[in-house]
Amino acid sequence: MGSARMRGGVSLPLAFEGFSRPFEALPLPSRLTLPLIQDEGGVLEPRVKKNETVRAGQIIAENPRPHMAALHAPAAGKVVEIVSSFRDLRGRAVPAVVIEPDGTPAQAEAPAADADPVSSAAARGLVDFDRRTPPLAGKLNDALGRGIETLIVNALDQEPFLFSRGRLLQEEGEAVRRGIKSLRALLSPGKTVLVVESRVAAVRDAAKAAAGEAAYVFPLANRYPQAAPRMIARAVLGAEIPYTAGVTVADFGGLIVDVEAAAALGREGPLTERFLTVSDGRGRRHNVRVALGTPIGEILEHVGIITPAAGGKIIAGGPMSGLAAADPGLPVTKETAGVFVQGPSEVIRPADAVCIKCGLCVEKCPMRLMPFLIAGFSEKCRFDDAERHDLFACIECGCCAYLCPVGIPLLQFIRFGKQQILARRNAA
Amino acid sequence: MNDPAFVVSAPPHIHSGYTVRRLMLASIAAMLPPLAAGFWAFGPDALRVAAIAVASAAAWDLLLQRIFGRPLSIADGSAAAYGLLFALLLPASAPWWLVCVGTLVLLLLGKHVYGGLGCNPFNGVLIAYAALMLSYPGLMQDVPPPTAEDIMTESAPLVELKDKGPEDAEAAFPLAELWVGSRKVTGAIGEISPLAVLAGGIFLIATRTIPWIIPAAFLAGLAALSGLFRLLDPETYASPLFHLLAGGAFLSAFLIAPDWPTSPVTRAGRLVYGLLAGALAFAIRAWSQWPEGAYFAVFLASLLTPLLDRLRPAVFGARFTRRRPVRHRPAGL
Ligand code: SF4
Ligand code: SF4
Repeated sequence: MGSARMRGGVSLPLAFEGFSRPFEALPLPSRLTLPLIQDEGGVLEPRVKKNETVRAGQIIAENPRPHMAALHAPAAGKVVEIVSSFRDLRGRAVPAVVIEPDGTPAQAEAPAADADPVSSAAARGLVDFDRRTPPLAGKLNDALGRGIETLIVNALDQEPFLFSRGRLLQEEGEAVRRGIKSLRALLSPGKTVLVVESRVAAVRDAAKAAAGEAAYVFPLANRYPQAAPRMIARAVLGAEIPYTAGVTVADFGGLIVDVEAAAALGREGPLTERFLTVSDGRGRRHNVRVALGTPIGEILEHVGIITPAAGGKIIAGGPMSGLAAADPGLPVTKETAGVFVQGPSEVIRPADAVCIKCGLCVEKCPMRLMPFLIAGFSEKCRFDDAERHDLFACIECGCCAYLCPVGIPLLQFIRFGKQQILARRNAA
Repeated sequence: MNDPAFVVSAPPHIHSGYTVRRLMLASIAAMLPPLAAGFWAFGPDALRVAAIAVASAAAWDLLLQRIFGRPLSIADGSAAAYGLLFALLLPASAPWWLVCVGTLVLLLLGKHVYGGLGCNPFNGVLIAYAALMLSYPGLMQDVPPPTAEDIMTESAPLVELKDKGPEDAEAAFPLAELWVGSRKVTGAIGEISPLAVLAGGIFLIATRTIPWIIPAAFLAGLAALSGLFRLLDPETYASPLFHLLAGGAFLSAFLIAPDWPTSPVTRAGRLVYGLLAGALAFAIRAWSQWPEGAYFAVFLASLLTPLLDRLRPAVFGARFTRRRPVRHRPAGL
């Protein structure tokens, strides 16, 4: 198997002990808040009413379009409120269902086992836990339609500051194994690979056990952003996937599913929880297993990380690519990849200074762009120039801004440029 | 529900800790070995020039920041770094006012009229050098004689080459003495020891302060062109090793050419830039009235930087647009 290692990117310190921290199951909070939006699927329609009693695993919202992902009650209880305009992590105003768990073990009956696997993935609310979280049903349906050569199960954590995927392999190996088995049964790929962090023996061993005869274990050193789908595809398939609209891994005969999605598939029942790494900038890290809808602040409290004072930052995801949360009350959703907390003194302040053209960002951009140029053009609202220099090829890894000695918020400008261009296009 | 006390900003939320200040401090550290070699050759005078250059550069920087109404950024060390670099191009005998005029030109035309560090299209050190070379050619080239007893000539190696031809020049300056920097060789403060410059340069490359490709390409360009002409006509042209070790070749390659704002950012651009500057250095030395062409060569090459920046790498995936055939199966099962 030819391996084309990533070019560019940055070596971030990897705290190996993060992989040996068992998942702590978080107790249910007094209120679960579930925003009715699916990252790549739009707003969901509620299927419950205020004051209705719900059972654990009962569908509370659905997307009427096919191959989407339903949303389920993580616990039995009562719908105490249906908020019409809840500010979610990305600042969108969306409806949300608020459930007060009542502590009863009432379970919704599982969907019929013989249903076709794609619609069952939709009914179970499965998604792929990438930076975007597309419904798994849609991915599977697409892969079925085109046929795939290589099934890639990605167990590399999105950033070296997150450990949940590596840990999941160790604790939920059986579910992963079953998930891979059903993916293979559905898609009959020519070969299956399980991509894992190469530097941690326990993770490699767990991967071997989970892969069994069904998959090759493909170890990769997780130099950031190696876990990005394009970089994974480059390493495994030996092909660089262009950013041309509509071209995906599928055009190269591949399908990438992350390991948490595979494990969710291998388990019974609906998706109502996430496996997360919660850490702070001072070296505290915990892996937790948490019900969707749990406020981030309660997780911090449980693991004993202090919610930062004013001027600090709560990040949903990792510090390289996560989104800053405005409020510790924001709930964990299917999109939450982790939690990272910074005290006021650790928060970086972007500089208001000019590029000295040191070239570091150019050297290390994994997409081989000219970050200082596209950011500069975006900042000056010269959007055509930015696009001419391949603004939309940026995968938003943040390596450029991480490295810039001047401290220019390059990625912020790049995102601004993309948003403006898309907004203009939609208006036209 | 939103609590404005939390900071919400775009990722990434952490930073490498690389700063401009660190780049500048590394550059200053890299300039200490050549300065020490200058001190060894010329005594306290070398330190006097360096001290005046650094102090005056810092003073001009403060003053000009005031005048142009820019935030004070003296702490980033850039004025000190550029001032010290400028001092390395001067003779140890330079009078104080000459140094101060030079640093004024350096900070004004190399930084502030264009809007500060990074906005300057030309390397301030080279502008200051060129301005003084044209205005005070005598003072700039009037290097103090070597301090050793048994010297064969009082002029700098490249001046000797220009005046007497390759045979005499190579006889007067054995390569070993050019290389380590001895008291038998004279020149500008930083030109005395290519070895010391190399030590600083390796430090810069190891700390990722500068890309290795620019100095390597510069030296390769110089060696290639001088080697070619040496082969064609050994009577007229000095050997490539002489060209590499005499004068400011190493200084240009490691400390001047990699100047961030005025050198290209892409690998290919840097390669062409370095080769070009090295080749031009030989051309100016061989065919112009100036004995030392390395600095002018870097200046000329940097004029092409905007053009060379277009030598950008192919974007990820750009070469792979042809799709691989995939196995097709009917939809569904
Ligand atoms: S330009 Fe985009 S892809 Fe390149 S380093 Fe910056 S964030 Fe990453
Ligand atoms: S890293 Fe920063 S200073 Fe260096 S070229 Fe890129 S934007 Fe400019």
